[in-house]
Amino acid sequence: MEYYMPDIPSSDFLAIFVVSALIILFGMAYAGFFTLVKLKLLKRAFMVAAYGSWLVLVGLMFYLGELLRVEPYTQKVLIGAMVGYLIFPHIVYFLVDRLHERFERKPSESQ
Amino acid sequence: MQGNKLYQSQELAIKYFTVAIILFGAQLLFGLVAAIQYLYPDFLFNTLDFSIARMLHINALVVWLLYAMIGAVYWLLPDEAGIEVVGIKLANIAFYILTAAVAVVVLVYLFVQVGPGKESTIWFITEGREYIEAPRWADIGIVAVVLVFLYNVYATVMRGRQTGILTVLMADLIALAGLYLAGMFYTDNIAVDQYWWWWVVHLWVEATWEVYVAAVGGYILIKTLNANRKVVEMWLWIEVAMMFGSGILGLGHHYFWIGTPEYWWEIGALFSALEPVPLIGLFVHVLYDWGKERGKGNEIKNVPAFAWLTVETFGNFLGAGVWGFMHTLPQINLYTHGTQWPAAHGHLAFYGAYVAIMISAMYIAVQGKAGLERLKMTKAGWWAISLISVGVLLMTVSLTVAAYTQTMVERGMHGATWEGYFAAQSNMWFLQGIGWRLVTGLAVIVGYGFLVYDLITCPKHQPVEEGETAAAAA
Amino acid sequence: MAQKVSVWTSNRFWRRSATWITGVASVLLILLTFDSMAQMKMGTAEDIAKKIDKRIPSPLVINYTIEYKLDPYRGHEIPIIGGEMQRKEGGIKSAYEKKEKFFGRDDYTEEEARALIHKGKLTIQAKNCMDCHTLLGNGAYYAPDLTKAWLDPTWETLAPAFNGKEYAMAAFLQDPPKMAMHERKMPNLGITEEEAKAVVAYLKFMSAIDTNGFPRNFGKIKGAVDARK
Repeated sequence: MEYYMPDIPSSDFLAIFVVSALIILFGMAYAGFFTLVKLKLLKRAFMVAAYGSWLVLVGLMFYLGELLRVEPYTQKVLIGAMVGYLIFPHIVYFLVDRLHERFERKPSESQ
Repeated sequence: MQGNKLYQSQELAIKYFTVAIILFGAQLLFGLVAAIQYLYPDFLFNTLDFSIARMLHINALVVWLLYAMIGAVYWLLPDEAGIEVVGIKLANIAFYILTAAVAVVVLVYLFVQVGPGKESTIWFITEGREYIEAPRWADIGIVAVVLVFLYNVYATVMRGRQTGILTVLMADLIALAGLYLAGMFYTDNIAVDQYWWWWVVHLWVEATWEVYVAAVGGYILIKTLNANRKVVEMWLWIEVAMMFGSGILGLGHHYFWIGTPEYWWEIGALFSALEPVPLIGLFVHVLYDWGKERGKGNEIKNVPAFAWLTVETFGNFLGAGVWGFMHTLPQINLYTHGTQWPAAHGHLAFYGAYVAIMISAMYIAVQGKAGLERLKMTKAGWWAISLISVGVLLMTVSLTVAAYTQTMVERGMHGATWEGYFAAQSNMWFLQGIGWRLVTGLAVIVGYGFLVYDLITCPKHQPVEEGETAAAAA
Repeated sequence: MAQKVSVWTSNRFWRRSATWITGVASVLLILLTFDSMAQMKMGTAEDIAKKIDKRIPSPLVINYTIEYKLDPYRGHEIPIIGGEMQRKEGGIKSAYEKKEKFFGRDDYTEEEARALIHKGKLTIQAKNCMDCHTLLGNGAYYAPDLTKAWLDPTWETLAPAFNGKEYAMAAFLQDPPKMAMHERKMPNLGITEEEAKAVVAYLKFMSAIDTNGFPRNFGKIKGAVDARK
């Protein structure tokens, strides 16, 4: 089995921690901006910020792959995953919207 | 809810909550001792050594969360099912047995501390396995009490109304209880030992507890915001799919370095990278609700409970999501495993994911017991939530500074030896991080004081607005 | 609600999805666990005789020298028991030949060795070691990691004064404050001579567990050979 774990110089540690944290934060920023624009709480122009966040996210993920010395194949998988993530807020928004539309037209029946 | 006449089961829930909040205090107290010992190693040396303080710190945490979790179920069960809990007498007896057992275990921890290297120690003093140190006799007692609890839940739901929230809880609780069995055996093989130990620890905190929180969180949303039950319940299933889908195999991220095969590197990396996904899903949903409800003038029926639920959403995201992902990939985990990184991550994640929502559930009970239509936030309540949340967040930041220093010095520069370990522990940055951790810990303890005060007195100290009296019962 | 209910808002659909996903994940975990358990079974005397590497070796490794060396094939350090030899696929592996005295003996039988590490593991649990130390990286962070404690250069420096590092370690365990190495002392936990010996045996055995290269660069950067360039 080909398992090989390359060495990572300690001078890269800080970058890895910061980039990892930013990946999650930009992932949230993308989902956040997207949802807020969809809800019309932000102007449409902010959709640029949403997709901008996603682009930064892709860049950060690529950089993290470089920092972690992943193989070219894994690097492709990572970027593929980011493309997958592109549709995630769409799916969640779509589901939540449909859900509320279906059940909340009638007066609340929760109690 | 029927005025302020509670179900017997809800009275029992309040007993569980009371013990939980006392144990929360114990957790903070022993955490404080341990934090002081990091700076002043001679503090209580030979009286209450770090190992004992730390063990009590984490065991109190686990036990009080379990108490609060059981309490919350006894609270919502009759409310959801619409009938008194079946077998409530038995449930009351079980509560006293459990509490007596916990007291005995704690006394043994405190005064016997350690035993000789024999099986009898494992049975009667300590199992010495982090988080589940409780000796074997107590394990068996816990299983018996949990069986009573499960009987209560199942029998009640079968006779009463079976809601979606209860369905999820029923399935989740049986998994949660069953997993405890994975931690109840002894083996000489430490790798196998830790393999199953993680089944309990990980599959609790990163799978079954998460789903429990999603279910109880749904109930709290219905209670505080009058959220639509159908929406809540369907969303709950989506969350369950995402949480179990990522969390169960996310177990792999604990199997990188304990003598396990290498394929766990890939599995652990992939699924633990997916673990933030349900948190982002939750975040989008919360944002959606907030956006839609904004300006509708809908009143929040229980402001403190809702505020703590909000802390839960963000704390879970930051603690589990951001701080988790910072050190979860095997390439970097090789250098962070066994340092202060997991400590930093653990403090915020436990707080965000579990502590906050259990306090939220307690406020629901406070409101129910007082029979108030609406519960507002008092001054003390604000102090409690602010001090504790900011305290834990800054504590996490402090520990992160220490963790980073330790990774650099011990793992990066000194090759992970004893010498390297102590070089890192004496590093100025490390000590500063640990120092600030103590300061922020003190802030949390002050916040805890406010919290206890507020839980007891907030129904009486409701800020009165024009034309309404605080005692307006339903 | 006259229109047809979309599958996306069907409670039944999501309940089934959640159940299926949970089921599939659980089944996968169980299958992987079967495989892992097979690979993590403790080795035997026979394995050592046949030079078969086990992730968790036989306790008999206490009869042999143990080193922690970079295996170029796997790309990280691995425990080398009883000297090294070439692996067929490349890189190095344990030869199980070079013996070493452990408390004056290098002929422990499998039964004796098992009894020793049994006692050692019980003692490690009975004294709550994991609430200060980490073992295999898990535990508390108040004291050094013990995964490779047996190989720690600190013991090499103490070994001559005690006629061997196992004696030094056993002496330390029986009265840690006396041999304190840092302001943060280990307390005296009432470890008997017999228990101390068993714990040292366990530490030696644990250092021979294949941890996929954790901890990285152990002892290699300061004061020792720089193994990777």
